[in-house]
Amino acid sequence: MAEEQKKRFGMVIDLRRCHGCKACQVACKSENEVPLGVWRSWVKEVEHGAYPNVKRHFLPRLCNHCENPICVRNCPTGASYKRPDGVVLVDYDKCIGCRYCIASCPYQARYLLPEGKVADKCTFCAHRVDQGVVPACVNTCIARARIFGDLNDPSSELRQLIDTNPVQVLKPETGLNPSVFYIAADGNAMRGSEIA
Amino acid sequence: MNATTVYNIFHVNPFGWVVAAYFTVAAVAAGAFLLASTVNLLGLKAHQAAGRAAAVLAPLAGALAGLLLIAELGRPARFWRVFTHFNPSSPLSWGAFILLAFLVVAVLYARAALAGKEEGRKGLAIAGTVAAGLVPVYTGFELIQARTSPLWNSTLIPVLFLCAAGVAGLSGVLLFGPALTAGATQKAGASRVAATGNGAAPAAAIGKAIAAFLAGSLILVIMQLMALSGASTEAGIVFRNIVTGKFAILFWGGYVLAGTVVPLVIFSGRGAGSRSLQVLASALAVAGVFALRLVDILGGQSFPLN
Repeated sequence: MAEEQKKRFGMVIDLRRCHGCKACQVACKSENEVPLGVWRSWVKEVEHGAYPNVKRHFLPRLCNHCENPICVRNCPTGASYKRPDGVVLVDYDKCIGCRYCIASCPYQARYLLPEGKVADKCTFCAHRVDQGVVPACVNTCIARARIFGDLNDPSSELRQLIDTNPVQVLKPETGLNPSVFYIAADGNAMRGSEIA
Repeated sequence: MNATTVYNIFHVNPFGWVVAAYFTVAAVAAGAFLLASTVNLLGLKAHQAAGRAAAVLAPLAGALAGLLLIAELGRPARFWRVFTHFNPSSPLSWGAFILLAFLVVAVLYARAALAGKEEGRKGLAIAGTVAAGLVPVYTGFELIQARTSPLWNSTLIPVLFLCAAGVAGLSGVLLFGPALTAGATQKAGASRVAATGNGAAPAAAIGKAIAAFLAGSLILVIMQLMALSGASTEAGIVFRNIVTGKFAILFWGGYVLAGTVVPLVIFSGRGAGSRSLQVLASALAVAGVFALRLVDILGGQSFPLN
């Protein structure tokens, strides 16, 4: 009997459906009690053109739960770790607050908790996923733009979306193999840019 | 196409001036030990007093560097955790053990140097040379591995940091040498000036070595900026921030002019024999290393991530 392939959780964000309501951003903040001033998930907005020919593009952001996480590789204490199902987490009790993982992450997904002074980030709502429930941002998305599931399951909706659509990941050149995929992402939104 | 980012989240940059101060003080410690061990291993009798001052300065600066590193942590009381878990893929994990090894050897070497013991000193000098060389190199690799910044992700960084250790360590010895060995020299009836060498000539020779390291550092910085200028959009932003933007005064005024050109002129000119000019040039050279580290740390994070 073939060995059962282990799970690797991931997410597809279908930007043909996203209309930038930021409900995911609010749901994440509420679900995870994320303190003021820091965010586990947010929706970047980029405008193209000039009035009256203007279009706004959205790019929901979160930890990419990379297959080769540089934060885990660089953590000196083992506080940052990857679970067998691909979810990258921080063990607050082991973290010394050196910030090296924050400096290492090319996605700016990590921050130092204002209270506690340890590294923190999106957990893919591991506490929910472990109970068989999808992450809060996925659950709350009224447009069903966010799809969560097992990347290694060919029958999952997530896998099928990836297999049947051109998908993009952020900064593929880093070789970190993100587990968050975008459909129809705007090239300008995917690039780093300051607020004008 | 005209594209404007109208909403995004930017978290606070992780590294600040304390990291730059740590890199500078660690460079002083490493460079000072390399001077002490060179004097010992090559038997440079004319520089014995300077070698003794360097041997004392190395563990003092090393201990201060360690304290800065701990103070920088979000949870300083947990610093010991880096010694109970070794992650071979983390430069910071290697660095903790390298710094610890350096401190132990530097303390033992300073004890032997002050007591005038020759037994076992050469072995300590060799072990300490390896550890002292690795201290600035590991800090460079720490930045390379961060991989987010086009300024940090350069193989020139460890070489630049090694050069900076030469500048900072030797300048530290010229600056603090007389104070560090005041007790020993007074006992021997010698003057305070003699603590940086057996007279003005050895101090001037150290000044010439500092000038060489300053020139080497400047060449490396120019090479790094040239490589940065057209590498990518992010690299271009960092380049402009350093050369003409918000770090230009720190870079041109602090590092290039005050921290490199002025000490270079003093150490390579006739003023190299004057104690007051040596003190001025040494202080400026150490300040220049700090200014460049600030530019590296702050400038290296001065581009938008996504």
